[in-house]
Amino acid sequence: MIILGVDSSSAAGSAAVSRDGELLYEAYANEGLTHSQTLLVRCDEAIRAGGISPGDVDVFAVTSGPGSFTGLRIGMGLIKGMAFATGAKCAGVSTFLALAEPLKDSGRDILTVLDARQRRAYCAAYRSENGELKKVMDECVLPFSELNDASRTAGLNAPLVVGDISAEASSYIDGAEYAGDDMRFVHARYVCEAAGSMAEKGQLCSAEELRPFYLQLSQAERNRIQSNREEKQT
Amino acid sequence: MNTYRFTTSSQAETEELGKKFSEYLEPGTLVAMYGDLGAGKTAFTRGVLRGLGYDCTVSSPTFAIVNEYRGGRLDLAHFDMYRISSEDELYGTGFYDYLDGSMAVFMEWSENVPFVVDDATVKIRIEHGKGDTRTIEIDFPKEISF
Repeated sequence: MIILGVDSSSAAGSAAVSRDGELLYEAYANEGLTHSQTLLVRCDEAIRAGGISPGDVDVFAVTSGPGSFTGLRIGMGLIKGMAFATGAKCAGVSTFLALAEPLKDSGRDILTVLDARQRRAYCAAYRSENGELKKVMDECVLPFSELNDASRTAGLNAPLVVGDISAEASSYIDGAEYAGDDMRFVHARYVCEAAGSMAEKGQLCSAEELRPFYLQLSQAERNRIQSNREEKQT
Repeated sequence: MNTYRFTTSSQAETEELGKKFSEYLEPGTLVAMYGDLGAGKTAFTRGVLRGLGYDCTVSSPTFAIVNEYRGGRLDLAHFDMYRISSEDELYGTGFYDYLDGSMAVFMEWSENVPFVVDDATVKIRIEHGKGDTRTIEIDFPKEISF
């Protein structure tokens, strides 16, 4: 199976091609939000360097969010356009999953955190078991001050923290470990890997069905944060 | 934060003040403007853009939400928050992508987006006086002189 994966969910942008789980080529740059000018060029580069043609791609995969509003729309538009043209299937890979994917053989708990602004984190957590990632905390928005409680409630044990605000967020959690600078942003090869797992589980969709998951705070989450604050004040 | 107070007596003077103020702008500066309809927020911003070397038409992006100016001494994004009422709506304009430190960002009707204003934000309050007189108060994180 040939997968073209792209990520433009943050200031970093990348495109990769894999065949049957083997990475053929990856182009990655962290040069600011210039994806509208660079992402298609990177896809072209990955396809050429991988020695394939666009019609050979079985799955077009993209990080579906959370992330930069403009970035997500560029990645989505590009992947949908190519999949429409060839009729191939799509995979919308959660940005959280793409961040955790490199650690799927680590045997550790992984907390993925993305900037939700105003000292809040968009987060989700996974447990690496037998080379697979199992979600142990659903996507939610938390103030930094509540990360420790949430980590404990989810039963996370000395989690590795990844994502754009991982350095700061990890300092709020007892026993947490900052996974390092190169784990702050998604690399497209892991979008391909996650899409491969999704294909095995029958989680692919058509270009029409592919939807972004924007980084937004639902009213419910906002209310919960507010009521927690009020509880603490009283 | 240092507070500076100015009085201008015409739109041209308000623009002139904006022009001088533009010298202190750097990539990443976020400027929150406050003031009623017709107070002179757009005139001030026009002056800023003239100071940065843009001689094109400058109007308030009430419907476009944002106008981008590129190619001058500094790139600038000019937002009008008049029609924005929530953080989710603001996210949907791509606003947060403009805060990547590559350009200056000006916001009219900042009253509508208190959640993006913090200690590092430059604040400009423009108030109507008699006739064309305006009082302009600038909160700036560092010392400026003009």
